[in-house]
Amino acid sequence: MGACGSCSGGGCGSGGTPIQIGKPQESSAGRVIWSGTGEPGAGADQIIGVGLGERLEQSVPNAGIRVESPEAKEALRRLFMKVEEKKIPLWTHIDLTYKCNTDCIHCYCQHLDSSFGGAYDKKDLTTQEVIHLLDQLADAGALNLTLSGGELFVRKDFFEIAFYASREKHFALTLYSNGTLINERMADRLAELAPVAIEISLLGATAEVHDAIVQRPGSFDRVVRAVGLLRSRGISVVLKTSIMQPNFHQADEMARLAQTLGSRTYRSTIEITPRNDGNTGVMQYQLTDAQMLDYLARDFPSPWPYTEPVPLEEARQKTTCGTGTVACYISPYGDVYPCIQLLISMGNIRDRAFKEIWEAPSDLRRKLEQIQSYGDLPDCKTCEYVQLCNRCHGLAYLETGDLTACYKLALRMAKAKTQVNAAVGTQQG
Amino acid sequence: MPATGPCRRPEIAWRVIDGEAIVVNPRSGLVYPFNPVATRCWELADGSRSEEAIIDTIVEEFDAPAEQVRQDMRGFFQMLHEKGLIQPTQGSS
Repeated sequence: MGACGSCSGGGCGSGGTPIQIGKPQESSAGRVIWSGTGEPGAGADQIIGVGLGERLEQSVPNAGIRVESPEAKEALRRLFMKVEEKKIPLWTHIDLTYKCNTDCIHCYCQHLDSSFGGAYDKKDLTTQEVIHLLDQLADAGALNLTLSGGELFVRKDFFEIAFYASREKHFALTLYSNGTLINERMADRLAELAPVAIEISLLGATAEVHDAIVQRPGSFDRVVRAVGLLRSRGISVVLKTSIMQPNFHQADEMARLAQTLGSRTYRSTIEITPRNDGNTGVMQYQLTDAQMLDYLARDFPSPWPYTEPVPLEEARQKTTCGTGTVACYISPYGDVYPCIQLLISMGNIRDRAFKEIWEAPSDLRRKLEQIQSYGDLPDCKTCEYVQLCNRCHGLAYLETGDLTACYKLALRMAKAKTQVNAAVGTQQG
Repeated sequence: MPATGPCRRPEIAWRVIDGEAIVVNPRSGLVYPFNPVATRCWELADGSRSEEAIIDTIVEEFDAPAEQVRQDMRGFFQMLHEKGLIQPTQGSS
Protein backbone atom coordinates (compact mmCIF):
# COMPACT_ATOMS: atom_id res chain seq x y z
CA MET A 1 0.00 0.00 0.00
CA GLY A 2 1.09 3.56 0.30
CA ALA A 3 3.48 5.26 2.58
CA CYS A 4 2.88 7.25 5.75
CA GLY A 5 3.14 4.35 8.05
CA SER A 6 0.01 2.74 6.73
CA CYS A 7 2.03 0.85 4.22
CA SER A 8 4.24 -2.17 4.42
CA GLY A 9 2.05 -4.89 5.59
CA GLY A 10 -1.14 -3.56 4.20
CA GLY A 11 -2.92 -0.42 5.10
CA CYS A 12 -5.60 -2.65 6.48
CA GLY A 13 -3.14 -4.06 8.91
CA SER A 14 -3.71 -7.51 7.61
CA GLY A 15 -0.04 -7.79 6.98
CA GLY A 16 0.05 -9.24 10.42
CA THR A 17 -2.37 -12.01 9.74
CA PRO A 18 -1.91 -14.83 12.18
CA ILE A 19 1.63 -15.72 12.50
CA GLN A 20 3.60 -18.23 14.36
CA ILE A 21 6.59 -16.59 15.82
CA GLY A 22 9.71 -17.34 13.96
CA LYS A 23 7.96 -18.82 10.99
CA PRO A 24 7.29 -16.81 7.88
CA GLN A 25 3.67 -16.73 6.86
CA GLU A 26 1.93 -15.45 3.84
CA SER A 27 -0.47 -12.64 4.35
CA SER A 28 -2.69 -10.73 2.02
CA ALA A 29 -0.15 -8.01 1.80
CA GLY A 30 3.14 -9.72 1.84
CA ARG A 31 5.44 -11.61 4.05
CA VAL A 32 5.90 -11.63 7.76
CA ILE A 33 9.55 -12.23 8.24
CA TRP A 34 9.53 -12.70 11.94
CA SER A 35 7.37 -11.68 14.75
CA GLY A 36 6.73 -11.62 18.41
CA THR A 37 9.88 -11.19 20.37
CA GLY A 38 12.30 -9.42 18.12
CA GLU A 39 14.21 -12.66 17.89
CA PRO A 40 13.70 -14.56 14.66
CA GLY A 41 13.01 -18.16 15.46
CA ALA A 42 12.15 -17.54 19.07
CA GLY A 43 9.20 -19.05 20.84
CA ALA A 44 7.47 -20.86 18.04
CA ASP A 45 4.89 -22.08 20.50
CA GLN A 46 3.73 -18.55 21.09
CA ILE A 47 0.96 -17.54 18.81
CA ILE A 48 -0.18 -14.19 17.63
CA GLY A 49 -3.75 -13.64 16.74
CA VAL A 50 -4.53 -17.30 16.35
CA GLY A 51 -7.89 -18.79 17.07
CA LEU A 52 -9.89 -15.77 16.22
CA GLY A 53 -12.25 -17.56 13.92
CA GLU A 54 -11.25 -18.24 10.37
CA ARG A 55 -12.56 -15.05 8.88
CA LEU A 56 -11.27 -13.00 11.75
CA GLU A 57 -7.84 -14.42 11.32
CA GLN A 58 -7.71 -12.77 7.95
CA SER A 59 -8.70 -9.39 9.23
CA VAL A 60 -6.76 -9.28 12.46
CA PRO A 61 -4.68 -6.18 12.49
CA ASN A 62 -1.09 -6.37 13.39
CA ALA A 63 -1.14 -5.17 16.93
CA GLY A 64 0.99 -8.10 17.88
CA ILE A 65 -1.40 -9.29 20.50
CA ARG A 66 -0.61 -12.69 21.99
CA VAL A 67 -2.31 -15.13 24.25
CA GLU A 68 -0.59 -17.21 26.87
CA SER A 69 -2.30 -20.56 26.83
CA PRO A 70 -4.43 -22.87 24.69
CA GLU A 71 -7.33 -22.24 27.09
CA ALA A 72 -7.08 -18.50 26.59
CA LYS A 73 -6.87 -19.03 22.86
CA GLU A 74 -10.03 -21.11 22.89
CA ALA A 75 -11.85 -18.57 25.05
CA LEU A 76 -10.82 -15.80 22.69
CA ARG A 77 -11.95 -17.80 19.70
CA ARG A 78 -15.41 -18.10 21.22
CA LEU A 79 -15.49 -14.43 22.08
CA PHE A 80 -14.42 -13.41 18.60
CA MET A 81 -17.16 -15.50 17.08
CA LYS A 82 -19.59 -13.35 19.04
CA VAL A 83 -17.80 -10.27 17.75
CA GLU A 84 -18.27 -11.48 14.21
CA GLU A 85 -21.88 -12.45 14.76
CA LYS A 86 -22.71 -9.07 16.25
CA LYS A 87 -20.66 -7.20 13.65
CA ILE A 88 -18.68 -5.34 16.28
CA PRO A 89 -15.91 -3.24 14.74
CA LEU A 90 -13.36 -4.57 17.19
CA TRP A 91 -10.53 -3.34 14.97
CA THR A 92 -10.80 0.25 13.93
CA HIS A 93 -8.35 2.34 12.00
CA ILE A 94 -8.51 6.13 11.99
CA ASP A 95 -6.31 8.24 9.79
CA LEU A 96 -6.12 11.47 11.76
CA THR A 97 -4.82 13.40 8.77
CA TYR A 98 -3.47 12.79 5.31
CA LYS A 99 -1.01 15.65 5.78
CA CYS A 100 2.55 14.49 5.94
CA ASN A 101 6.05 15.85 6.32
CA THR A 102 7.39 13.39 3.75
CA ASP A 103 6.34 12.80 0.17
CA CYS A 104 6.73 9.10 -0.50
CA ILE A 105 6.71 8.23 -4.17
CA HIS A 106 4.37 5.27 -3.65
CA CYS A 107 1.97 6.88 -1.14
CA TYR A 108 -1.69 5.98 -1.53
CA CYS A 109 -3.02 8.99 0.35
CA GLN A 110 -4.63 11.81 -1.52
CA HIS A 111 -5.24 14.68 0.83
CA LEU A 112 -8.11 16.93 -0.07
CA ASP A 113 -7.60 19.79 2.36
CA SER A 114 -7.16 22.94 0.31
CA SER A 115 -5.39 24.63 3.20
CA PHE A 116 -2.61 22.10 2.68
CA GLY A 117 -2.61 22.30 -1.10
CA GLY A 118 -5.31 19.66 -1.54
CA ALA A 119 -7.77 19.65 -4.38
CA TYR A 120 -10.94 20.08 -2.31
CA ASP A 121 -12.04 21.96 0.73
CA LYS A 122 -12.24 18.94 3.01
CA LYS A 123 -11.12 19.51 6.58
CA ASP A 124 -9.64 17.06 9.03
CA LEU A 125 -11.86 16.17 11.97
CA THR A 126 -11.31 18.60 14.83
CA THR A 127 -10.08 17.47 18.23
CA GLN A 128 -13.60 17.52 19.60
CA GLU A 129 -14.97 15.62 16.62
CA VAL A 130 -12.34 12.91 17.10
CA ILE A 131 -13.08 12.74 20.84
CA HIS A 132 -16.79 12.36 20.11
CA LEU A 133 -15.99 9.68 17.55
CA LEU A 134 -13.89 7.77 20.10
CA ASP A 135 -16.82 7.83 22.52
CA GLN A 136 -19.05 6.33 19.85
CA LEU A 137 -16.50 3.70 18.79
CA ALA A 138 -16.00 2.57 22.38
CA ASP A 139 -19.76 2.26 22.77
CA ALA A 140 -19.84 0.18 19.59
CA GLY A 141 -17.29 -2.23 21.09
CA ALA A 142 -14.14 -1.20 19.22
CA LEU A 143 -11.03 -2.20 21.16
CA ASN A 144 -7.98 -2.24 18.93
CA LEU A 145 -7.48 1.22 17.54
CA THR A 146 -4.88 2.07 14.93
CA LEU A 147 -4.06 5.75 14.61
CA SER A 148 -2.31 6.71 11.43
CA GLY A 149 -2.11 9.25 8.62
CA GLY A 150 -0.54 10.91 6.67
CA GLU A 151 1.88 11.44 9.47
CA LEU A 152 -0.10 11.40 12.68
CA PHE A 153 2.49 13.37 14.62
CA VAL A 154 1.92 16.48 12.48
CA ARG A 155 -1.33 16.86 14.41
CA LYS A 156 -0.66 19.13 17.35
CA ASP A 157 -3.45 17.47 19.30
CA PHE A 158 -2.13 13.95 18.78
CA PHE A 159 -1.33 13.27 22.45
CA GLU A 160 -4.61 14.77 23.62
CA ILE A 161 -6.45 12.38 21.32
CA ALA A 162 -4.25 9.38 22.07
CA PHE A 163 -4.37 9.76 25.86
CA TYR A 164 -8.13 10.21 25.73
CA ALA A 165 -8.42 7.02 23.65
CA SER A 166 -6.19 5.06 26.00
CA ARG A 167 -6.97 6.41 29.46
CA GLU A 168 -10.60 7.42 29.15
CA LYS A 169 -11.85 4.91 26.59
CA HIS A 170 -9.48 2.00 27.17
CA PHE A 171 -8.50 1.36 23.55
CA ALA A 172 -5.45 -0.76 22.72
CA LEU A 173 -3.48 1.62 20.52
CA THR A 174 -1.25 0.89 17.59
CA LEU A 175 0.41 3.87 15.93
CA TYR A 176 1.66 4.07 12.35
CA SER A 177 4.31 6.69 11.70
CA ASN A 178 7.13 7.53 9.35
CA GLY A 179 9.25 8.01 12.47
CA THR A 180 10.88 11.24 11.41
CA LEU A 181 9.28 13.49 14.02
CA ILE A 182 10.04 11.34 17.05
CA ASN A 183 12.51 13.06 19.37
CA GLU A 184 13.50 12.42 23.00
CA ARG A 185 10.60 14.37 24.47
CA MET A 186 8.06 12.69 22.22
CA ALA A 187 9.56 9.27 22.97
CA ASP A 188 9.10 9.95 26.68
CA ARG A 189 5.44 10.77 26.17
CA LEU A 190 4.95 7.75 23.95
CA ALA A 191 6.44 5.55 26.68
CA GLU A 192 3.92 7.03 29.10
CA LEU A 193 1.11 6.46 26.59
CA ALA A 194 2.11 2.77 26.25
CA PRO A 195 0.77 1.79 22.84
CA VAL A 196 0.82 -1.89 21.92
CA ALA A 197 3.25 -1.01 19.15
CA ILE A 198 4.52 1.77 16.96
CA GLU A 199 4.88 0.73 13.37
CA ILE A 200 7.40 2.60 11.28
CA SER A 201 8.20 2.43 7.58
CA LEU A 202 11.70 1.39 6.62
CA LEU A 203 12.07 1.90 2.90
CA GLY A 204 15.76 1.38 2.40
CA ALA A 205 18.78 -0.09 4.11
CA THR A 206 20.74 3.07 3.40
CA ALA A 207 19.97 6.77 3.60
CA GLU A 208 20.44 7.08 -0.14
CA VAL A 209 17.64 4.65 -0.96
CA HIS A 210 15.23 5.43 1.90
CA ASP A 211 15.50 9.21 1.49
CA ALA A 212 15.01 9.00 -2.27
CA ILE A 213 11.73 7.16 -1.75
CA VAL A 214 10.38 9.49 0.94
CA GLN A 215 11.83 12.50 -0.89
CA ARG A 216 13.17 14.11 2.28
CA PRO A 217 16.91 14.10 2.98
CA GLY A 218 17.82 13.05 6.50
CA SER A 219 14.74 10.85 6.98
CA PHE A 220 16.62 7.57 7.20
CA ASP A 221 18.85 8.83 10.00
CA ARG A 222 15.81 10.13 11.85
CA VAL A 223 14.04 6.78 11.53
CA VAL A 224 17.07 4.91 12.89
CA ARG A 225 17.30 7.38 15.76
CA ALA A 226 13.58 7.13 16.48
CA VAL A 227 13.71 3.34 16.68
CA GLY A 228 16.56 3.61 19.16
CA LEU A 229 14.69 6.15 21.28
CA LEU A 230 11.59 3.99 21.37
CA ARG A 231 13.36 0.71 22.00
CA SER A 232 15.42 2.21 24.81
CA ARG A 233 12.14 3.07 26.52
CA GLY A 234 10.75 -0.41 26.11
CA ILE A 235 8.27 0.52 23.39
CA SER A 236 7.49 -2.22 20.93
CA VAL A 237 8.53 -1.22 17.42
CA VAL A 238 7.46 -2.88 14.21
CA LEU A 239 9.40 -1.99 11.09
CA LYS A 240 7.79 -2.57 7.75
CA THR A 241 8.76 -2.23 4.16
CA SER A 242 7.08 -1.84 0.83
CA ILE A 243 9.36 -3.69 -1.54
CA MET A 244 9.37 -1.88 -4.88
CA GLN A 245 11.63 -1.06 -7.77
CA PRO A 246 13.80 1.54 -6.01
CA ASN A 247 14.61 -0.65 -2.99
CA PHE A 248 14.29 -4.19 -4.32
CA HIS A 249 18.07 -4.58 -4.42
CA GLN A 250 18.19 -3.94 -0.66
CA ALA A 251 15.42 -6.34 0.39
CA ASP A 252 17.70 -8.62 2.37
CA GLU A 253 19.67 -5.74 3.88
CA MET A 254 16.48 -4.09 5.12
CA ALA A 255 15.44 -7.29 6.91
CA ARG A 256 18.87 -7.52 8.53
CA LEU A 257 18.78 -3.86 9.53
CA ALA A 258 15.33 -4.24 11.08
CA GLN A 259 16.62 -7.12 13.15
CA THR A 260 19.70 -5.17 14.20
CA LEU A 261 17.59 -2.21 15.23
CA GLY A 262 15.46 -4.41 17.49
CA SER A 263 12.21 -4.46 15.55
CA ARG A 264 9.84 -6.85 17.30
CA THR A 265 8.33 -7.82 14.00
CA TYR A 266 9.48 -7.10 10.49
CA ARG A 267 7.00 -7.21 7.67
CA SER A 268 7.41 -6.62 4.01
CA THR A 269 4.91 -6.34 1.25
CA ILE A 270 5.32 -6.37 -2.47
CA GLU A 271 1.95 -4.77 -3.01
CA ILE A 272 2.11 -1.30 -4.44
CA THR A 273 -1.43 -0.24 -5.15
CA PRO A 274 -3.24 2.67 -6.79
CA ARG A 275 -3.71 5.90 -4.87
CA ASN A 276 -7.00 6.24 -3.09
CA ASP A 277 -8.23 8.55 -5.83
CA GLY A 278 -7.72 5.73 -8.35
CA ASN A 279 -4.47 7.15 -9.77
CA THR A 280 -2.46 4.22 -11.02
CA GLY A 281 0.79 6.09 -11.62
CA VAL A 282 2.39 4.63 -8.50
CA MET A 283 2.01 1.12 -9.87
CA GLN A 284 5.09 1.76 -12.00
CA TYR A 285 7.05 0.89 -8.85
CA GLN A 286 5.60 -2.62 -8.60
CA LEU A 287 8.02 -5.51 -8.97
CA THR A 288 8.08 -7.38 -12.23
CA ASP A 289 6.92 -11.01 -12.27
CA ALA A 290 10.55 -12.16 -12.33
CA GLN A 291 11.46 -9.98 -9.34
CA MET A 292 8.43 -11.21 -7.47
CA LEU A 293 9.46 -14.79 -8.08
CA ASP A 294 13.02 -14.03 -7.06
CA TYR A 295 11.87 -12.39 -3.82
CA LEU A 296 9.45 -15.12 -2.80
CA ALA A 297 11.92 -17.89 -3.58
CA ARG A 298 14.62 -16.55 -1.31
CA ASP A 299 15.69 -18.53 1.69
CA PHE A 300 16.60 -15.40 3.62
CA PRO A 301 15.49 -14.53 6.22
CA SER A 302 13.26 -17.59 6.17
CA PRO A 303 12.52 -20.18 3.51
CA TRP A 304 9.14 -20.40 1.83
CA PRO A 305 6.69 -22.34 4.03
CA TYR A 306 5.49 -25.20 1.85
CA THR A 307 1.74 -25.67 1.53
CA GLU A 308 0.33 -29.01 0.44
CA PRO A 309 -1.79 -28.41 -2.67
CA VAL A 310 -5.47 -29.27 -2.35
CA PRO A 311 -8.11 -29.87 -5.04
CA LEU A 312 -9.70 -26.74 -6.51
CA GLU A 313 -13.05 -27.67 -5.01
CA GLU A 314 -11.53 -27.50 -1.55
CA ALA A 315 -9.35 -24.47 -2.23
CA ARG A 316 -12.23 -22.29 -3.32
CA GLN A 317 -13.96 -22.84 0.01
CA LYS A 318 -11.30 -20.64 1.56
CA THR A 319 -12.97 -17.74 3.32
CA THR A 320 -12.48 -14.16 2.26
CA CYS A 321 -11.72 -11.36 4.70
CA GLY A 322 -14.29 -9.98 7.12
CA THR A 323 -14.21 -6.39 5.97
CA GLY A 324 -17.21 -4.40 7.06
CA THR A 325 -17.93 -6.95 9.77
CA VAL A 326 -15.30 -6.75 12.50
CA ALA A 327 -13.13 -3.91 11.25
CA CYS A 328 -13.68 -0.46 9.92
CA TYR A 329 -11.77 2.55 8.68
CA ILE A 330 -12.45 6.24 9.22
CA SER A 331 -10.81 8.89 7.10
CA PRO A 332 -9.52 12.25 8.38
CA TYR A 333 -12.70 13.80 7.00
CA GLY A 334 -15.01 11.52 8.97
CA ASP A 335 -16.01 9.14 6.20
CA VAL A 336 -16.66 5.60 7.42
CA TYR A 337 -15.50 2.73 5.23
CA PRO A 338 -15.62 -1.06 5.68
CA CYS A 339 -11.83 -1.02 5.74
CA ILE A 340 -8.91 1.13 4.69
CA GLN A 341 -8.68 -0.62 1.34
CA LEU A 342 -12.33 -0.65 0.40
CA LEU A 343 -13.04 3.00 -0.22
CA ILE A 344 -16.79 2.92 -0.64
CA SER A 345 -18.14 5.32 1.94
CA MET A 346 -20.87 4.08 4.26
CA GLY A 347 -21.56 7.58 5.56
CA ASN A 348 -19.93 10.49 7.36
CA ILE A 349 -19.87 10.95 11.12
CA ARG A 350 -20.41 14.67 10.64
CA ASP A 351 -23.84 13.80 9.26
CA ARG A 352 -24.90 10.76 11.26
CA ALA A 353 -23.92 8.86 14.39
CA PHE A 354 -21.36 6.11 13.88
CA LYS A 355 -23.73 3.40 15.12
CA GLU A 356 -26.36 4.48 12.65
CA ILE A 357 -23.87 4.37 9.79
CA TRP A 358 -22.38 1.05 10.85
CA GLU A 359 -25.65 -0.74 11.38
CA ALA A 360 -27.59 0.65 8.45
CA PRO A 361 -28.47 -1.91 5.80
CA SER A 362 -26.94 -1.05 2.46
CA ASP A 363 -26.20 -2.59 -0.90
CA LEU A 364 -22.54 -2.63 0.02
CA ARG A 365 -23.13 -4.51 3.27
CA ARG A 366 -25.43 -6.99 1.56
CA LYS A 367 -22.83 -7.57 -1.12
CA LEU A 368 -20.07 -8.10 1.43
CA GLU A 369 -22.21 -10.51 3.40
CA GLN A 370 -22.89 -12.55 0.29
CA ILE A 371 -19.17 -13.10 -0.21
CA GLN A 372 -18.19 -15.77 2.26
CA SER A 373 -15.58 -17.67 0.32
CA TYR A 374 -13.55 -17.47 -2.87
CA GLY A 375 -16.15 -19.75 -4.40
CA ASP A 376 -18.63 -16.87 -4.17
CA LEU A 377 -16.49 -14.73 -6.46
CA PRO A 378 -17.07 -15.20 -10.19
CA ASP A 379 -13.44 -14.93 -11.27
CA CYS A 380 -12.05 -16.88 -8.33
CA LYS A 381 -14.26 -19.93 -8.32
CA THR A 382 -12.61 -21.42 -11.38
CA CYS A 383 -9.15 -20.00 -10.89
CA GLU A 384 -6.43 -22.61 -10.50
CA TYR A 385 -4.33 -20.28 -8.31
CA VAL A 386 -6.97 -19.69 -5.66
CA GLN A 387 -5.28 -21.73 -2.95
CA LEU A 388 -2.35 -19.37 -2.56
CA CYS A 389 -4.17 -16.20 -3.54
CA ASN A 390 -4.87 -13.53 -0.96
CA ARG A 391 -7.18 -11.15 -2.68
CA CYS A 392 -8.59 -7.98 -1.24
CA HIS A 393 -12.09 -6.72 -2.05
CA GLY A 394 -10.94 -3.13 -1.73
CA LEU A 395 -7.92 -3.40 -3.95
CA ALA A 396 -9.94 -5.30 -6.54
CA TYR A 397 -12.41 -2.42 -6.44
CA LEU A 398 -9.68 0.18 -6.72
CA GLU A 399 -8.10 -1.71 -9.60
CA THR A 400 -11.24 -2.56 -11.56
CA GLY A 401 -14.23 -0.75 -10.05
CA ASP A 402 -15.75 -4.12 -9.09
CA LEU A 403 -15.09 -5.50 -5.63
CA THR A 404 -15.94 -9.04 -6.73
CA ALA A 405 -13.54 -8.98 -9.67
CA CYS A 406 -10.18 -10.64 -9.89
CA TYR A 407 -7.57 -8.58 -8.11
CA LYS A 408 -4.87 -8.77 -10.73
CA LEU A 409 -1.88 -8.04 -8.53
CA ALA A 410 -2.97 -10.79 -6.11
CA LEU A 411 -3.29 -13.18 -9.04
CA ARG A 412 0.21 -12.29 -10.22
CA MET A 413 1.50 -12.96 -6.72
CA ALA A 414 -0.49 -16.18 -6.45
CA LYS A 415 1.10 -17.45 -9.66
CA ALA A 416 4.56 -16.66 -8.31
CA LYS A 417 3.75 -18.28 -4.95
CA THR A 418 2.40 -21.40 -6.67
CA GLN A 419 5.60 -21.71 -8.67
CA VAL A 420 7.81 -21.25 -5.60
CA ASN A 421 5.66 -23.61 -3.57
CA ALA A 422 5.94 -26.32 -6.21
CA ALA A 423 9.72 -25.93 -6.36
CA VAL A 424 10.01 -26.17 -2.57
CA GLY A 425 7.73 -29.21 -2.58
CA THR A 426 9.93 -30.92 -5.16
CA GLN A 427 13.05 -30.17 -3.11
CA GLN A 428 11.47 -31.57 -0.01
CA GLY A 429 10.61 -34.73 -1.91
CA MET B 1 -5.38 9.80 46.18
CA PRO B 2 -3.92 6.29 46.24
CA ALA B 3 -6.29 3.43 45.57
CA THR B 4 -7.65 1.70 48.64
CA GLY B 5 -8.39 -1.53 46.79
CA PRO B 6 -7.49 -3.34 43.60
CA CYS B 7 -7.23 -0.80 40.78
CA ARG B 8 -6.85 -1.37 37.07
CA ARG B 9 -3.65 0.09 35.64
CA PRO B 10 -4.63 3.10 33.52
CA GLU B 11 -2.86 1.95 30.37
CA ILE B 12 -4.59 -1.43 30.26
CA ALA B 13 -7.01 -1.70 27.34
CA TRP B 14 -10.27 -3.51 27.74
CA ARG B 15 -13.75 -3.90 26.39
CA VAL B 16 -16.72 -5.90 27.65
CA ILE B 17 -18.62 -7.83 25.01
CA ASP B 18 -21.76 -9.62 26.09
CA GLY B 19 -20.61 -9.76 29.70
CA GLU B 20 -17.13 -11.01 28.87
CA ALA B 21 -14.09 -8.77 28.84
CA ILE B 22 -11.15 -8.78 26.48
CA VAL B 23 -8.24 -7.27 28.38
CA VAL B 24 -5.00 -6.24 26.69
CA ASN B 25 -1.76 -5.37 28.43
CA PRO B 26 -0.08 -3.09 25.88
CA ARG B 27 3.29 -3.37 27.58
CA SER B 28 3.46 -7.14 27.16
CA GLY B 29 1.20 -7.43 24.14
CA LEU B 30 -0.72 -10.17 25.92
CA VAL B 31 -4.48 -10.46 25.69
CA TYR B 32 -6.67 -12.03 28.37
CA PRO B 33 -10.24 -13.19 27.81
CA PHE B 34 -12.23 -12.99 31.07
CA ASN B 35 -15.28 -15.03 31.93
CA PRO B 36 -18.37 -13.23 33.32
CA VAL B 37 -17.27 -13.49 36.97
CA ALA B 38 -13.76 -12.24 36.23
CA THR B 39 -15.25 -9.50 34.07
CA ARG B 40 -17.48 -8.26 36.88
CA CYS B 41 -14.55 -8.34 39.22
CA TRP B 42 -12.49 -6.35 36.71
CA GLU B 43 -15.23 -3.75 36.38
CA LEU B 44 -15.34 -3.34 40.13
CA ALA B 45 -11.56 -3.00 40.43
CA ASP B 46 -11.50 0.78 40.11
CA GLY B 47 -9.56 1.39 43.31
CA SER B 48 -12.54 2.53 45.34
CA ARG B 49 -13.41 -0.89 46.79
CA SER B 50 -11.39 -3.25 48.92
CA GLU B 51 -10.70 -6.79 47.76
CA GLU B 52 -13.14 -8.05 50.37
CA ALA B 53 -15.87 -5.66 49.19
CA ILE B 54 -15.45 -6.87 45.63
CA ILE B 55 -15.60 -10.48 46.74
CA ASP B 56 -18.78 -9.79 48.72
CA THR B 57 -20.37 -8.23 45.66
CA ILE B 58 -19.45 -11.22 43.51
CA VAL B 59 -20.84 -13.67 46.07
CA GLU B 60 -24.09 -11.72 46.15
CA GLU B 61 -24.49 -11.13 42.43
CA PHE B 62 -23.56 -14.63 41.31
CA ASP B 63 -25.20 -16.43 44.19
CA ALA B 64 -22.08 -18.52 44.69
CA PRO B 65 -20.59 -20.32 47.70
CA ALA B 66 -18.71 -17.64 49.61
CA GLU B 67 -15.66 -19.66 50.52
CA GLN B 68 -15.15 -20.94 46.99
CA VAL B 69 -15.51 -17.46 45.53
CA ARG B 70 -13.16 -16.02 48.15
CA GLN B 71 -10.50 -18.58 47.28
CA ASP B 72 -10.91 -18.13 43.51
CA MET B 73 -10.96 -14.36 43.75
CA ARG B 74 -7.77 -14.21 45.78
CA GLY B 75 -6.06 -16.27 43.13
CA PHE B 76 -7.51 -14.04 40.45
CA PHE B 77 -6.30 -10.83 42.10
CA GLN B 78 -2.88 -12.40 42.52
CA MET B 79 -2.85 -13.20 38.79
CA LEU B 80 -3.94 -9.65 37.89
CA HIS B 81 -1.12 -8.32 39.99
CA GLU B 82 1.48 -10.70 38.55
CA LYS B 83 0.44 -9.88 34.99
CA GLY B 84 0.71 -6.17 35.63
CA LEU B 85 -2.98 -5.55 35.07
CA ILE B 86 -3.69 -3.91 38.43
CA GLN B 87 -1.57 -1.55 40.44
CA PRO B 88 -0.43 -2.11 44.01
CA THR B 89 -2.91 -0.96 46.59
CA GLN B 90 -2.19 1.24 49.58
CA GLY B 91 -0.43 -0.73 52.25
CA SER B 92 0.54 -3.58 49.96
CA SER B 93 4.19 -4.43 49.56
